[in-house]
Amino acid sequence: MIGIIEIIVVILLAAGVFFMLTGAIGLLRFPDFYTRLHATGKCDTLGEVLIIAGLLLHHFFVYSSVPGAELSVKLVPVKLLFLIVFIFLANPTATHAIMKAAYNTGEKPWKVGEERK
Amino acid sequence: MIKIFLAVGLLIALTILLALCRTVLGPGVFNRVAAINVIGTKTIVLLVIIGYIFERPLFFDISLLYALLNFIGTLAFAKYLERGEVWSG
Amino acid sequence: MKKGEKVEKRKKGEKSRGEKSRGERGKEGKRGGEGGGGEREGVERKGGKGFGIFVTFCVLFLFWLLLSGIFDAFHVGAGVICSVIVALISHDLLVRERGEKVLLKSFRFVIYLGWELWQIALANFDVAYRVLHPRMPIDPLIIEFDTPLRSDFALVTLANSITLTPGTITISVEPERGRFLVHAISKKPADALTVEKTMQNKVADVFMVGGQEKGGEWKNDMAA
Repeated sequence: MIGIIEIIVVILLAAGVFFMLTGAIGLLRFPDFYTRLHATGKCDTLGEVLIIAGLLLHHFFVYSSVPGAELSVKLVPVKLLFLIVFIFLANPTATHAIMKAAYNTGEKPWKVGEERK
Repeated sequence: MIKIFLAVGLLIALTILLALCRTVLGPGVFNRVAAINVIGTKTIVLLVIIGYIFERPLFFDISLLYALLNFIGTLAFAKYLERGEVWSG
Repeated sequence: MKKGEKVEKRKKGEKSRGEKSRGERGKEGKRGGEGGGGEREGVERKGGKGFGIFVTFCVLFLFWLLLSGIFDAFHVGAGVICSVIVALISHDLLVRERGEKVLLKSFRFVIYLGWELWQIALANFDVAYRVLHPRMPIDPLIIEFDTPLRSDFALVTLANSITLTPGTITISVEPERGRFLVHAISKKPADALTVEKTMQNKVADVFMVGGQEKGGEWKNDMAA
């Protein structure tokens, strides 16, 4: 029998995988370095956060709410929550650092009508 | 549910393959660094999913550690490409 | 060296910003290499370095307890020892200054986070649309604007928000004038930042409390 929690988890996982695939396709399709960073820096972060949120829900309702579980299994949602917060803070910062390095060493941005780089 | 996790894991592996194409193709070093950052963040999620498939709770700690290492590695690389040195002591 | 220059300029220029003598002596001893970043603000540390060590120790020990989940004597003792050593070595990385009205700002910050999560979820579909559309309608441009925010935390929050909402990525930030250099992917997100200024007004609402009017002359001296 399929419960309501499993449906929510599957929806979150599917949305996360969709955003990740979009980010990777954008990495291949866009014509310039700066625009490729747009695709990966945003879609990747959101896709990852959605997948890990889905796994957190699954763990919380299947493993953690069983009364006989030991403490290190009950604390796994806390670890996954740390991972979500860390990815939200770290991915945009790494994207910005790489973009600043490229701008300061003279990469030229792409305008409409030029050829692909 | 394990089958759904396996499917998600295979799709993430496909994403890593696409990013690897950009690592090989991209003209210049900046495209390659951006693609390696993408591969690193996909590895974090893949480790968590493998932890669920094989039912070992150790993999969540490993993925938290690898998230930190990937972030610091990308920052150090960006600093080196911008200045020519990492630590100006 | 760039960092040395910045410290020199601060020492010569301004001593008029509400300094307490205990905090001043505490900072003089520690000014070494890492001092250039935090003293830009000018608000001196009110409690000295004991407060910084205590807060860092509490945060680190809390992380230790939450991540391990084992509560027997050996592990808790090892946690205390490791947290104390790390807090003694690097406490000035976490707690720099003790600004004013911290509780009110934290409350408004949480509300701002809720609004921002909604914006991220709503507008990431825009980037997905641009990637998957067969004609790929992009038109990149680089824009530059000024903001009245000056503290570290406010600038980082605005830069992260600009990078997370699709359409724009921060390239560089100048802390002296609050100037942002931003790469936008088409005209519409660029206009949302320069013409309408929704995001900047919301961040300014969080961090600038008490005595500044909006839309007119923003004053230049504000605490964190």
